[in-house]
Amino acid sequence: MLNLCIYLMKDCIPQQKADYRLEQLDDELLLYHPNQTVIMYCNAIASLVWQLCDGQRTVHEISNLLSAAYDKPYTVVAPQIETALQEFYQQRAIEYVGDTLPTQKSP
Amino acid sequence: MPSRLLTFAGSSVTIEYEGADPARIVEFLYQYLPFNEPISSHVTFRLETTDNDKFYLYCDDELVCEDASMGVVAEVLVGQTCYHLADKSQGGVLFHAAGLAWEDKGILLPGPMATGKSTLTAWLLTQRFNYLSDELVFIPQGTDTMQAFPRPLNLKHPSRLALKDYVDYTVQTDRILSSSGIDLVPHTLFNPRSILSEPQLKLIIFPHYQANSDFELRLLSKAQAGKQLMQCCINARNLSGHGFSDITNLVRRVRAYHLTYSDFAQIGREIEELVAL
Repeated sequence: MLNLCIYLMKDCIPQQKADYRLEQLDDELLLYHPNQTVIMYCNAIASLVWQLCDGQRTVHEISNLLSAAYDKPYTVVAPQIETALQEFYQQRAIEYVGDTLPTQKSP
Repeated sequence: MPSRLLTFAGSSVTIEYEGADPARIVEFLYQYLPFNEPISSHVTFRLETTDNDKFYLYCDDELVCEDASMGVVAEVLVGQTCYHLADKSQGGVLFHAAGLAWEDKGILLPGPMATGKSTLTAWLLTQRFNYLSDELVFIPQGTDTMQAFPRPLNLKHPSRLALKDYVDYTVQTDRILSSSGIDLVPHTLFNPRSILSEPQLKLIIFPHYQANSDFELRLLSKAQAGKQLMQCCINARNLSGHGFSDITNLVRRVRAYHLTYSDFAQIGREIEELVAL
């Protein structure tokens, strides 16, 4: 299981995997993968993390954006972002672009 | 041989039966199921009895139960019926859920086995709620209409203690079928005035009985409710997109709560007040 501290992942670039169906429900999300029958609940911050996993932004950039959006210090939002990214990765909802994740292994 | 076609949730099974006791079992289990528009059945059960007082239950000519107890064979038959109806169900979402009505408002109680759905349903019947089902509720696509499978309540023996103030199991033996683990109890024993209906879904409650717990009734976000409801959808594989859009549309319109309780007294009139909102 991947369990890297967000500070070590700051230069990694997460990208949504294809085939996930998405339903926005208020400020939260449900993600569903029909073939894998995986359903994921995303709270408000996890929803934003998901939407920012565009294969362009680094984890550090995502964290800075959410820190600004929530008007909270980086150290406050970082653990929530880390949790969301770990969950997405474990459920195979994201991958990291290229070799931006040095120790990346298939979960 | 007499037979009964059971049609529910876009699916049908046939039950053939021979003899007075098998006829009694079929009547006991399915007397409240409406005669819906016939659909070609995909499974045929046959229930017979013989001179040695044993019952034989076949599913498409394969023996699935052989027992002398009417309660045992009834439990197997109703369980198999639910399984096969769900297996080919289509045209809407089918939930592993109990269903009740308060006036014209429907309440869905979804959840996996052993969360106390049937026992809570029995108690709510004693509080003047109307019975729909303790196991399967179907919502046809594009509607909020609750169509339920109104089998007798399937109550595990430990619930006898919780319900002893409402049903005397020692007196009602001729109206209850029991096996070694469960009692099949007609809903009318808990609420003789219960009226079967197809109400509009107004409230979803995910019940969770937990011994010695504090009472909690917590409003769920739409996404939380959607996730839990997806996990209770038992015909997803037969539906376009696994019913994901249907279910998320449902939770957009209907409030959902998580209920934790250890005693019926904790619940009081809470559900009645919620559904009236």
